[in-house]
Amino acid sequence: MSNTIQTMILVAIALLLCIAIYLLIRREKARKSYAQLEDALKYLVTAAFDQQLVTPDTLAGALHLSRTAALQLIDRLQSQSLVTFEQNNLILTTLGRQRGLKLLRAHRLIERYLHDEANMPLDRIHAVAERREHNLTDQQISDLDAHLGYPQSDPHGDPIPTPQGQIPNTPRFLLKDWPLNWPASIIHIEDEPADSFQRITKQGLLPSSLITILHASESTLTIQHQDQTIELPKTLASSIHVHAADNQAIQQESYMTLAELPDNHQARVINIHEQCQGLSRRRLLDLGVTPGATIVTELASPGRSARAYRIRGTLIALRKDQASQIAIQPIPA
Amino acid sequence: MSSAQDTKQVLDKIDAIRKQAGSQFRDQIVTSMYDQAESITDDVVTRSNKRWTFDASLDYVATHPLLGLPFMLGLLALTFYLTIAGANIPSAFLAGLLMEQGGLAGFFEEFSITIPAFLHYSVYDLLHIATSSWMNANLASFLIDGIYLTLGWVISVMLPPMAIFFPIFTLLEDLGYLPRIAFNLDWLFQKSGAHGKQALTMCMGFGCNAAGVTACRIIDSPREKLIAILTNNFMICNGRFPTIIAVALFFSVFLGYSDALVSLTAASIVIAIVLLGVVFTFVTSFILSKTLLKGEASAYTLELPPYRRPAVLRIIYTSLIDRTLFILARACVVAIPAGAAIWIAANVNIGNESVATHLINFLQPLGYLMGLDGAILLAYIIAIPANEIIVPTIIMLYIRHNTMIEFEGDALHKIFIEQGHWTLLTAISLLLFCLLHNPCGTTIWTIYKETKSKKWTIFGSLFPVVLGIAVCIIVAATWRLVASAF
Amino acid sequence: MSCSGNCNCSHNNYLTGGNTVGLSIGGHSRTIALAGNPNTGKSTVFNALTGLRQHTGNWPGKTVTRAEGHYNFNNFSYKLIDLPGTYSLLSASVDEEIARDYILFGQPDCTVVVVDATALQRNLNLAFQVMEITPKVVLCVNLIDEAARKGFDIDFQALEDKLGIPVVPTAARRKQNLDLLQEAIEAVCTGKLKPKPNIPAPPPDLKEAIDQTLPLIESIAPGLPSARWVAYRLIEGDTRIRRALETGELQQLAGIKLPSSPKPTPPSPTPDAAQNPTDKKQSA
Ligand SMILES: Nc1nc2c(ncn2[C@@H]2O[C@H](COP(=O)(O)OP(=O)(O)OP(=O)(O)O)[C@@H](O)[C@H]2O)c(=O)[nH]1
Ligand SMILES: [Mg+2]
Repeated sequence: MSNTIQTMILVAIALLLCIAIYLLIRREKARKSYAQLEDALKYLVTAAFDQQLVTPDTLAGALHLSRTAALQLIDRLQSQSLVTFEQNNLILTTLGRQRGLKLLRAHRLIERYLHDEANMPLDRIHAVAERREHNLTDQQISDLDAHLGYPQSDPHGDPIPTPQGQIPNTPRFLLKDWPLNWPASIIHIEDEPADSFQRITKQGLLPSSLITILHASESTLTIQHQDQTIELPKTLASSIHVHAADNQAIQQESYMTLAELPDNHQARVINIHEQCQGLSRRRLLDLGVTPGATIVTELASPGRSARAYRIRGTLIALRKDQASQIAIQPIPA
Repeated sequence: MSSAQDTKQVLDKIDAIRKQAGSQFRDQIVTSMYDQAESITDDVVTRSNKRWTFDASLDYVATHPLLGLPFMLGLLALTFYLTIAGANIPSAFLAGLLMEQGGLAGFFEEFSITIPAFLHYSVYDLLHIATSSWMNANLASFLIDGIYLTLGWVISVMLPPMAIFFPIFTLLEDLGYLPRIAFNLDWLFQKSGAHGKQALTMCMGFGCNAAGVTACRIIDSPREKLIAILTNNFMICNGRFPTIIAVALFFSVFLGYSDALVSLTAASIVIAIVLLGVVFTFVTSFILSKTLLKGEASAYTLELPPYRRPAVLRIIYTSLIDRTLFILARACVVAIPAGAAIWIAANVNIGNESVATHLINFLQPLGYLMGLDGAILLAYIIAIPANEIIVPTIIMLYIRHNTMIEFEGDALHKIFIEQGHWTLLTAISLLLFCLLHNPCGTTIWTIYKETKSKKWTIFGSLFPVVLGIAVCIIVAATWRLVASAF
Repeated sequence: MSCSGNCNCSHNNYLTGGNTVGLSIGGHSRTIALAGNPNTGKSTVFNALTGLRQHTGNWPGKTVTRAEGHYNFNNFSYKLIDLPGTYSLLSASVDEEIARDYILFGQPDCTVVVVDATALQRNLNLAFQVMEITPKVVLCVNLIDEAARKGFDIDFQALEDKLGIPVVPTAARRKQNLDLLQEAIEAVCTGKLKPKPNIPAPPPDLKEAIDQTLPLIESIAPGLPSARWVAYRLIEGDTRIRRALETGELQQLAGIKLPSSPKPTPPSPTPDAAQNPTDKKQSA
């Protein structure tokens, strides 16, 4: 008897599983096609910003679609009057442009969030933002904007469209066109292709890094960054945008960081680096890491991953990467 | 124009001001407040020359790069040794008083004391005597052998270890040692992509996983908070401690150690299981950080408060009243219906076997594969609302045919071997499964409240039990393979 | 012990909805909030006054939810709220929001800021922020026994003069000076004592922005006591505060009659929605 019951239970479970899987697949499909439409709009908006023309073929290439799939997609875009054709070029309608901008704004804000608050590595945030950008309401987007303190650019340095749909346009130059021996700040690193982005960031080059080109040859640039020299292929240099470094950034570079202060030493805080934004900056400020405060290094944890510092009469443990965001001036004993 | 629109316009104007104020706004306000605070404290606070070195010297050892970790393990070992060695005698006393036939006679015999014959009754005996004349035999058996007996086991197995463990743990908490644990383990958390404060939530999970999950609010990064919530179950809560302790004691008696060594061995086994839980926490956190919850360990700030002298009397009082009795009450509330259910299952027949036997037989194959048996698995299912009643339920299931056992000396040990046919493998698998199984009902509910996600709640509930089944099957298979080779 | 052990589970989701402003302050009961940095002894003060047994422990973050209790003093009943410890009210992380929202929207009759006598500098930062929100503040300098042991000597009178609010030194665990604390609370509640908080002036660089914002706030919420703090929050872009002004929640709390609001905001054709056709497209 118990055998038949057992089989019946098993069959029932198997059936339920099948139904669940079927429903999941259907939902996933609907989500995908909606996301595809929006991605196309976003691509068209960025292309328009860079003043590039888009044909069905470029669209297919950018979204990794077959030509037929791309044409179907364009049909759907047209039927919702989001794009029009002019010769062979796709042109956004006002409606399409608005939706594309909204999506671009959501995408870059999410990237900012993932980087500042969730502390995700730079090379991962693009992919995650691609997935999350599609189901945010206007309210959620503006809340996110406010929560992040109305950032101007995403972590790669790309400008974030304003709620009114303007994209701020700051002067920027390609690194390969920058003069020799002239300090520059990186403002943007192209996040696609992901591979070259990774190769650049692996060298320690990030948005707001301060660099100087020492030497340029046929194929490579020799770059000074902090105390190392980097050989950068020119092909990579063309996905980096820079502008002239301001004095403050140049000065900043010369200070020691808290991570470099030896144990049992005292120092005065100069400031917190610009790269440190969001929650972790707010926390440091709240704990009293403000310009002029005195800090003493007291304890080092096993493995030296963190140290405890005496700040304003309290003992606070910080990890190394955080301590390296605080510029200090040692006080001789 | 309505005032709502008025407001909106004004707010938009303020927005425009906001854009001009720049990004340094927060920095400047906080700095001005701190500058003021500094100038006030400079004026009103004076420090005498008296040097306070206690904190520094204790921290020198407690957070020493080399000594810090051994010191921590030593404290842990001492805590468990005291708990187990201290709980032994009161446990035996309570069992004698509440349940054993012949009352405390057996307990005192151990110390070569004979008590007068008219005291040879336990509460259990007395209840039977008191009801035998007027109550329907079945009803009496239901009330006494079902509900009361389960309760009795809960009290005698749970109360003593908790009454010792909690005060010691609270003592360390009040001294200010917990943040130091987090500081010492930070490198491991960083490597596994988790938040440094997860150590604190784990410490809370030691008491109760539901409390541990709520404590995860102190982690402000959402990804790491989720990791901490999902892995909290690897910390053995007090509901599971008695099971672990009971099985660990069985283990050391089984190995035939003398009395002096029994507590020591049992304590080592408990520590091994706790450490195994910690290892699972790190490994799981690491895997989650690399797969479902990808990301790097984020920045965090951990305040290491000054050591403060613990208020010993208050601690003993509150840990007894608040924690121990409270948990006991909770366990009893669950034990009563569970006891009733077990009794009914054991006494209602389908065909010529009881319901309990049918269920046990159904679960037996899986139980065997895992190195356990059907009764133990059934006990785990019955104990989903509260893990506290696992051991009592196992006992009740074993003795379902014959509640009137002659308990004497080491009653638990006898039941496990004679009724349950336990071997070392059973004990090992039970220890592992006790560490790795689904969270209790309260914890599941708390996970849902804190994550507000059905998906993660289901994951957090099923993942540990699947892991547990897999680990047990692997261990049992290996054990049997090796055993058959010799 | 967990959740059901503390009495706080049932309350912890207070203020998740937009309009749960709060507590009707019945004629006979006064509401007192306990705020402060983590680990300064708020829960210990709470326990000592109410006789309840909130969990305490020597590490920051022991309390993560709100808890309530009662005590009587001079024939008056007081409702005491134990809040999670926070380093700041500006950061807007979850625990801080619970504390911030309660002090601002819960409208306590008096807020007690519990500070650690051995780390006064760090603790005063939070005290200033609370003083920005409400003038009805009592500073409870706790842990004076620890401070004495470590050789700190604090001039409480001078501190009181400099801050402009009542200062009570206590040792909550020994129940030392708690009667003085209760007296100070009573004095502030009844208005017998009117604290005049002495808050740091805004930094010179920001003075202009603040000076521009204050009259704007005054125009929509005349006489708001926490105007400058609201200005800080608006300039930083705090959506919760912005919304509270939009819906009139903040004005209502401060007892300000809105000029005329015959009906709530009309739902459909506001100019804002008309400019955003994307919205409709999205939901369609
Ligand atoms: N010596 C001494 N210790 C105290 C005093 N008040 C509190 N403590 C201890 O300080 C520690 C922290 O107290 P709590 O009441 O938990 O602090 P809290 O402010 O509620 O902390 P959070 O809930 O984390 O914000 C506990 O170990 C208390 O026993 C005091 O007046 N003297
Ligand atoms: Mg507390």
